[in-house]
Amino acid sequence: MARQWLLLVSVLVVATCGLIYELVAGTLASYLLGDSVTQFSTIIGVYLFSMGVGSYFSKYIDRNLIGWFIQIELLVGLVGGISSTLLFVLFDAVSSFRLLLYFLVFLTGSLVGLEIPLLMRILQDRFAFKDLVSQIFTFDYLGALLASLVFPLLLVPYLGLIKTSYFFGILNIVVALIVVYKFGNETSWSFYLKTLAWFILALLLAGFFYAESIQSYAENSVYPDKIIYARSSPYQRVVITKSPREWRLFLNGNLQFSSRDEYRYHEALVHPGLGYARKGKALVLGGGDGMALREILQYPDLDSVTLVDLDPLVTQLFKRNEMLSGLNDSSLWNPKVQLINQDAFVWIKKEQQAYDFVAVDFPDPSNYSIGKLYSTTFYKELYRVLKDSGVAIIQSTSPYVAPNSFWCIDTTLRACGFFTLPYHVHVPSFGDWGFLLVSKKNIAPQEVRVPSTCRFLSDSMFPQLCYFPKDMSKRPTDINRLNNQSLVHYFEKEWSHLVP
Amino acid sequence: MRMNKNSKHTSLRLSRRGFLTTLTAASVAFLMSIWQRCTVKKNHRPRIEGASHQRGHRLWKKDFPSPDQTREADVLIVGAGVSAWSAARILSKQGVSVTLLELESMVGGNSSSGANSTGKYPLGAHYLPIPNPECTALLEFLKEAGIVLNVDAEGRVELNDYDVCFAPESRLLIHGYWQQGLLPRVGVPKEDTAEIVRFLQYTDSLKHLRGKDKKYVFAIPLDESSQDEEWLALDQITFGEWCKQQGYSSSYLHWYLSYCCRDDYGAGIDTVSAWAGLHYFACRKGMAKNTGESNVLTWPEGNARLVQELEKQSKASVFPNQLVYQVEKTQQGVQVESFDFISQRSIRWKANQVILATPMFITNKILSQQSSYTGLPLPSYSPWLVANLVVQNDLQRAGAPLSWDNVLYDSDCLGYIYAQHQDIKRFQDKITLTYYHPLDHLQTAAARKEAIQNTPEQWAEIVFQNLSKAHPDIRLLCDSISVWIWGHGMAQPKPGAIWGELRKQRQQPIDPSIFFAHSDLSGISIFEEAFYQGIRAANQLLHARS
Repeated sequence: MARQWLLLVSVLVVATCGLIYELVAGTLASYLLGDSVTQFSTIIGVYLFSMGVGSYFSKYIDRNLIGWFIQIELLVGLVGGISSTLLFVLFDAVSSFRLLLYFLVFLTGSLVGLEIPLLMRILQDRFAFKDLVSQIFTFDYLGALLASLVFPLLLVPYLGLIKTSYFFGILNIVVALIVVYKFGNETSWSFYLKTLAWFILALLLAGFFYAESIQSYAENSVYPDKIIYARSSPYQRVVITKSPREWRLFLNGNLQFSSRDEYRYHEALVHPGLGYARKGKALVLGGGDGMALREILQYPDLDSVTLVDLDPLVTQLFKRNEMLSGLNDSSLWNPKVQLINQDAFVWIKKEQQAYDFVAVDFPDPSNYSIGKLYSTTFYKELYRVLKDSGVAIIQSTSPYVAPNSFWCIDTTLRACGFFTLPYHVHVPSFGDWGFLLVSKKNIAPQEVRVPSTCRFLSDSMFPQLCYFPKDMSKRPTDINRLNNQSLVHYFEKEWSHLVP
Repeated sequence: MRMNKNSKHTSLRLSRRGFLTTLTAASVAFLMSIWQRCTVKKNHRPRIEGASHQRGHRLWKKDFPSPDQTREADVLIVGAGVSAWSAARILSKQGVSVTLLELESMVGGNSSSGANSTGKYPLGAHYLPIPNPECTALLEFLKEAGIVLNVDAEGRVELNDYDVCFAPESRLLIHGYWQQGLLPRVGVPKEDTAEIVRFLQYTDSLKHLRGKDKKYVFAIPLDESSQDEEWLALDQITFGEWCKQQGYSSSYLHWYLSYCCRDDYGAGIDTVSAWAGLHYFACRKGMAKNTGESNVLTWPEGNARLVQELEKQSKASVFPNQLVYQVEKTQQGVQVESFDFISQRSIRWKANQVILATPMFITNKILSQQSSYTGLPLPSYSPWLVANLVVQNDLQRAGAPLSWDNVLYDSDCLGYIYAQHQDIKRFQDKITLTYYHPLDHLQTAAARKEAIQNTPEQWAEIVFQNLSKAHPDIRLLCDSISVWIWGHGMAQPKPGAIWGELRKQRQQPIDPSIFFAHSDLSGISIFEEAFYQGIRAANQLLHARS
């Protein structure tokens, strides 16, 4: 009798696992593709339909029912267990993600659909028909209830989707293994089934424990070039890629520079301002890659340069790695440079010295924590540390993609008493990029002088950079304050047009 | 920094990848956190902070040794909360020598604060709305503290940006989603929204309304409010009854009003009077040049920052750990006896004048000889549970990001404050959340006593249960938790409490030598009232001298 119960328990497990796989697919699809109503509704539909298909084909299995039952159970475990990994790894690789998604759901559904009729036939001689039907469906629906409760309450918060699939795949296989060992004598496939079961179990266990590496494989496929460095600091994920033609630095997945055209960006960030100030003390906020420093150090009359960057991982990487310090001419080693790894806002609030030139090179204001660095409060501190004759340049996102954001930064700086000179340059890797040259007295475009060694900038073309075509011309905006963070709202709205 | 020009595709993929990274990281962290959970339970046992109720309860027994030393003071202030410091500040400015005696080991009263590795956090009151133009004394204090930079002719203030609550200010978890702002919006039917709008329009119209005596109907301090009977009548019914009379039936509006009243008064709309409820919505007329009207002033340590400023502007000596158990009028002045918890000895103080800046239920115990005063009835007090949780900075869920004020719809608790939100730093891997929970279901003294006997673990369990509705993994994310119980957190402005005779009688000094200053004398426990009561008592005292 115990053996019949074991089979019924495996119905429970198959039903639970089946529904879990379906829920995993639904959740993953709604996260990745959005529109959860559509995703869940179509996935449930496909799943139920494919169960019907499985049931229909069960009549073509005539012999060795136990063997088939176990084999299908193993397959359910395998397909279900690896389904979320497949979806996740192949998300970028396949042209039609939906096709893969529905195929996997269909496969799982068909296999589960085969199980119930098979089991009814296996057990038909051991129970009265009315008991049989009642038992099997009781266990089937009980499994469904169990799955639908543990999934949102326990699995998603604690295990995550990928491990959930593996976990239930493993559960599936373990039950199948027990069945193989109990019923092995009733099928001639015993050895084959045992081998297969152990093999799949090993595979799923490996998947469960190596989910992290699977993850990093997937990361590799996201970047166009070969990843030569990838590490997480407490602040961000730092990835460097290399192709025969260029180096690229990504922070949290956002491109920081490409070695092919970064000179355009960094010349624009430094020379229009420093070419004007020429000497004294310079300050770089952000810019831990040392590229802006490289440009700054071309001025022999400078007394010192202070670089304040949050992340020691980045500054040390660009200081100590031979190939990367080749890109910045070992600027981080220069004796004039003082390197400070600290939060720029915390640092500037306490800073007592005044500077002749400041380059402000922060990440784009894509969230509230970075938005603080573009607020009136921050710019008032900047005003304080800038000499009366000093000049600062602020990287100010793309005036083409995000004109409201760009002009909001301009408005905010003006509200703090700065004169601003907006200009923009074309950096092929980024697109049209904006900068604000700010000072305590008005500076006309014609007054700007840049060194003749520049590869991109020249005195005569600078006034052209200050011209803004109609589609990115000045417009009225809010002032960005710590207590409204208007800039983050503008930025989110404008960049989200590009990221549907 | 910059975004990719080709970010149309890259960012799309990266954001999904980011999601998957999070998922995987979460699942990897799972086994570790199971292990962590065991260690959390073992190593970070919840603590109960503060000793006031054990200390204070000795007033009921009064088993103190007789004083073996005598000290002298000109003006002695009992208590070191906001009203005490406010009085001390005025007196010191007039050249009067002031001594403060405080029960706790630190000053601040309801505006106390704590600190841990992540920074400072509040233990009670934690913000101040933009001051009304007519609150000139308050504005003067804030100007001296550098919090208000200047005030223009129309009374609009320019505030120090560091002291104004940073964005995002608040979010509400409703129907499983974090919406921005506290007025229920997500999933709220049109009729309910219309009712909420109608209510807010009505209370807006009350803001500048004046009674027959030409005074504001709802003013700060509330003693300045109009004495027009028509409006004072609202103090006779509960806010809930008033809502019914006015046809406000939306459960969403009721929740919002109750939330606001519980936040400020420690009790919901069926407990507080309609006058008090409307006062909350109609008394604020402050305007600022550099922020919206509804914005507030706040600091990581809460209103402890204001106490610190008051202290800085006073020249008073403070004696902490002093339980004053006796105040008696004598021929020469006032004799005060206190028990020093450190030396375990009693001290006799001889003072010319005394200000009792203590809550009424304590005042009654101290002044046991003065039955004409202590015979007056006491207000009901709401006990409060405030907990500070150090958690991993990983609380992002669907909807609005972690804000300063994070409120849970339809919960026993009010939610939590993220105090270091007011920090300019970009990254914080561990943060402190301050959980607020008025225990207004505890009506009787017996229930309160029972609650006080809860173990720290039981309190922590209540906190976790309430917060797990918003963050199912809060137990895993939490490194440590400390619990603060305010046995008598604040006086509830029940019907009759504000505009009955009681407050007037309580504000009167005993002879010209014992004065009273506490927000209990206003009937509502807000900074402005405590600040005002301190000034009022100090002026009474100065007047008696001259």
